[in-house]
Amino acid sequence: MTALAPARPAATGALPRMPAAAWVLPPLLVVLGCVGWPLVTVLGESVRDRAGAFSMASWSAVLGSAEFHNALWRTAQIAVGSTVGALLLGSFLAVVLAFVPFPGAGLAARLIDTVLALPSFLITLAFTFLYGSAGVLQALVHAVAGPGAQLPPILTSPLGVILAEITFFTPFVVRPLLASFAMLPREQLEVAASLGAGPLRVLRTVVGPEALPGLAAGGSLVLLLTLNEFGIVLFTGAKDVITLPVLIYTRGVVSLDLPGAAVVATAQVVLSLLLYGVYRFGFARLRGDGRAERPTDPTEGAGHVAVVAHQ
Amino acid sequence: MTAPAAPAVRLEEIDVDYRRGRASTPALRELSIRIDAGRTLALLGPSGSGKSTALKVLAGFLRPSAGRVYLDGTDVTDLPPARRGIGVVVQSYALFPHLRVDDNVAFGLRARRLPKAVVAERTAEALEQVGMAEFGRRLPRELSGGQQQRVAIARALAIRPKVLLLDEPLAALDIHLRQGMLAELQRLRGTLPDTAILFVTHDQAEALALADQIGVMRGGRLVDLADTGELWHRPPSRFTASFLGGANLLPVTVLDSPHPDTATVRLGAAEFLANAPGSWPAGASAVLAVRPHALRITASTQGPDVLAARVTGAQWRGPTTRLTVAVDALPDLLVEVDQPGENTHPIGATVGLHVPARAGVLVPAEDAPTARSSGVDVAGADPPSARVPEPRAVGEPAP
Repeated sequence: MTALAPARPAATGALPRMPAAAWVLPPLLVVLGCVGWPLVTVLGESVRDRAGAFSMASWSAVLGSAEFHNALWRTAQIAVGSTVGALLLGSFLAVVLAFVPFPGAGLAARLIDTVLALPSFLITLAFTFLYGSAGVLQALVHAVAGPGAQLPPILTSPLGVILAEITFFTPFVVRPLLASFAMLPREQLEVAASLGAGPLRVLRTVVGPEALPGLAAGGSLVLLLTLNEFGIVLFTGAKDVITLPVLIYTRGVVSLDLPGAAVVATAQVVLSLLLYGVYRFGFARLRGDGRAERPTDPTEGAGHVAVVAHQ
Repeated sequence: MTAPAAPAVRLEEIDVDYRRGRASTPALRELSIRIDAGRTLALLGPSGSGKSTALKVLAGFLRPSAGRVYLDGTDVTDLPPARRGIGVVVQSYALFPHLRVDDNVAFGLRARRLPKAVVAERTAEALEQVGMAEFGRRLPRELSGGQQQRVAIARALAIRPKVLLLDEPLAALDIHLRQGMLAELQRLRGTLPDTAILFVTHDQAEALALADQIGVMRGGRLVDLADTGELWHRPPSRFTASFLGGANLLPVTVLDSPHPDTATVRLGAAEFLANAPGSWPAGASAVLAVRPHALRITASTQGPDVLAARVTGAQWRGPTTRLTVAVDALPDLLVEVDQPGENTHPIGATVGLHVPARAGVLVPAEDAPTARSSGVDVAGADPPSARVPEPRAVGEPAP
């Protein structure tokens, strides 16, 4: 009988005793191994010449080139244009899904969610079938206006890339917005209406301010993703649309200028981190008094979609 | 001779159904009420009885599936909430968290596009009215629950509504704040002589303190409606008697009716004199509704108006003790009695249950189904009462 008593202390004592702070090591090692090490490698590659010696020549050459400046400008143009477009379209869709009762709203919300599960190039591929030089729309133009009639090459222009990115990234705005709307107490909307506010005023003065964090979260995520988007640009076949990711691909894979590609990649990483920092700082200010709150995670809220749609 | 003024509020034969897909759940059936200007009607009932639904229909948040809504004699059934001019205060306050207190109060005035000077003046006036003038630049999150409630009331009053709807306005407050706000609402009522108020609550004490009339709701129907005092002293149905004041319901037989509104009734071997509004023929079965505070416990089990009983439970509540006793003559019946001070009767003790003369009131043995509640007039006197079957066991504690 006495053998039963010490069983638990003995089992506890068999566990390795580690200070609580040590548990930070496993995730830290994973991050360093999977993210830190490749980044350091890229940075190291950018400061070596072809002989392997330390050199800043690649940095001088790349950062001073018109090609880099143009790519940077084009990247910013497309990212900002796509983000603004996704914010406008996403806000409209989210408002309709959340506040306009119509049959099939839940299905529509789930369809929009489904877009998130698709690879970005697939949307672009569909665009080429629809709007490309041999696409459905072009065939329609031929049928109506004759074989000589041609659509303007929108798909292979920066505008085409922006339209494709708006199509793909709009759900990233819709989801956090729907989550914000779902958290908005219905009584606030009812009281606002009873006080004499019409739907537009309610949207502007009650819903808008409350949804601002969700809008900022979705917009920031889209800006980050469009800044780094490669597949959509590649699949539109827009040869003249050179963005930073395309420039990295061209230098690294086509020209085999690995140091040059590493410089552009490093610049791209710095740009992304800066943007993320601005987002976190701006979000903290937006939430007021710098409280340490988690920003709305744009990947959350799928469950709210149906809830809002059914209300 | 001038025509009587139209009531401030009139709901006529209102039905509401909640639909989900093809399924439909009735939430309100044939509700008809009137509230005159300057009067307060409390809708009282348990959760799910339809009282908040009635308020939402009046505010325009819900569209009735049948019936009409009139404000000052004008049919507003098809008008959106924004065009009804009704002030609404809800349980959760629903203050706009990103707006400061004065901007919250000014919200309705700005929605009406009033001049800035008027907005400022009426905002200050409304905040003054609820004693929140110094808190104009605070954000809602910087206020206590009671202060937030005052701001919500000021916001509703700022638009100078002819009708004010209060949906469980005290439910979210703790007991001390609730007492203070109750007094505050009574004071406010005095400052709004022309405003009709619909007050929705599940708390009978709030309804008794604030309302001129009380409508008791159950299962989506109005079961009784009368002046507050009338409903308390002469509940027309078993449900109202038990819900309003937690009356014990003792099955009795009417012996005779020696005076108007009085009857002698028998329970077991005991006989009591009871209030008996209406006509009660000898030999009729009835229920004596008698509240716990009106009963007495005696050491003796002898006497013409004393029932032998056994103590089965005791809850000390400070000033009083609520005893639960089992009456020998009524198997399966538990009766609640409030006694002053601490309990002096041990559990299991045999005691006498004394029913003083006219301590209780007779109500029908069975509540009639509420087929219709139409024509019930909040402003009128002595309304016809609709009655529903009573599911609680006789003498079971009130909800």
